[in-house]
Amino acid sequence: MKRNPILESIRKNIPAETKAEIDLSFEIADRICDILKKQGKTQRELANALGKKESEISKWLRGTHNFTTQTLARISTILGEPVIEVTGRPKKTEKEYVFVEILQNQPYTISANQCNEAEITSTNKWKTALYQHKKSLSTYN
Amino acid sequence: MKKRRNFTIELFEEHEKVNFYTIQFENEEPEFEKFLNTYGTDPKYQEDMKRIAYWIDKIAQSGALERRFRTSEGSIKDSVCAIPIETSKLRLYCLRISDELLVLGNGGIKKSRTYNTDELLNLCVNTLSKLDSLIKHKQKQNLIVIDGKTISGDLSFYLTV
Repeated sequence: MKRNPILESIRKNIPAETKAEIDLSFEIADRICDILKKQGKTQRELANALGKKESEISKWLRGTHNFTTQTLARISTILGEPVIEVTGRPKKTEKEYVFVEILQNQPYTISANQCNEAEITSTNKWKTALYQHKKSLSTYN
Repeated sequence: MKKRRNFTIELFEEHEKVNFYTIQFENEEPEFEKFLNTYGTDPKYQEDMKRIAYWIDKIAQSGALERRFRTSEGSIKDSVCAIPIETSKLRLYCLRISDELLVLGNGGIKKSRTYNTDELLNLCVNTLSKLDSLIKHKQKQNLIVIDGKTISGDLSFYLTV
């Protein structure tokens, strides 16, 4: 495969963070495109829903736009699907949020039946759940 | 008096999904090399040049899709576009022939709202625009064949400037 020596010398000095930034921008643009395609929506429809010009959406889909979290949140809300996800932290389900909230209010006095979770009925399950909760708190704090 | 300038298009780099070509005027270095030599050595544009180089790598891997480019650079009729570097006014113009074939031209700093008030940028865009129409014309006459990533046949052209 033919390569140009001048361009190759520039390539050698591209910082990892520049690569990571452009990779991420490309991935976000591709993700938005994929969702639009899957939902059968056009760029114009997305622009109208967001109150933006179609040219602004075109700019986003080039893969070099520096998105703000506010813009990403707006796009996700309009499309009804997350555009990006933060990895590395376990994502809680709605039931887990309710459970953790009850535990946080009364962590040591709560009994299994107060928890109102059908799955947590036996003592062993309760102990496991409490242990996991404490572990997650120590991880997050 | 108008002057005739002969040029060819030459293979610049080959990649998995895209082949990059560039324009070469008679007795001159290739257009994209002029751009690399001008801005690649200027400390003010090091960051932009690294972004352009990596953007080319990304395109090489994923294809020269139309949506990846700043398409409002030439006229509505042609496929002249610019590499979308949003962090600066440095513009690199190119001709997107297909998802697999891109002709990299020259460029420069865009100092005004439109390219056509700048002599160099105007020449960069007009050369690519002219090339676009000449390729289409020669294709119709079966003098040029575009097959996937490859363009072959009579790749000699001229401009009068």
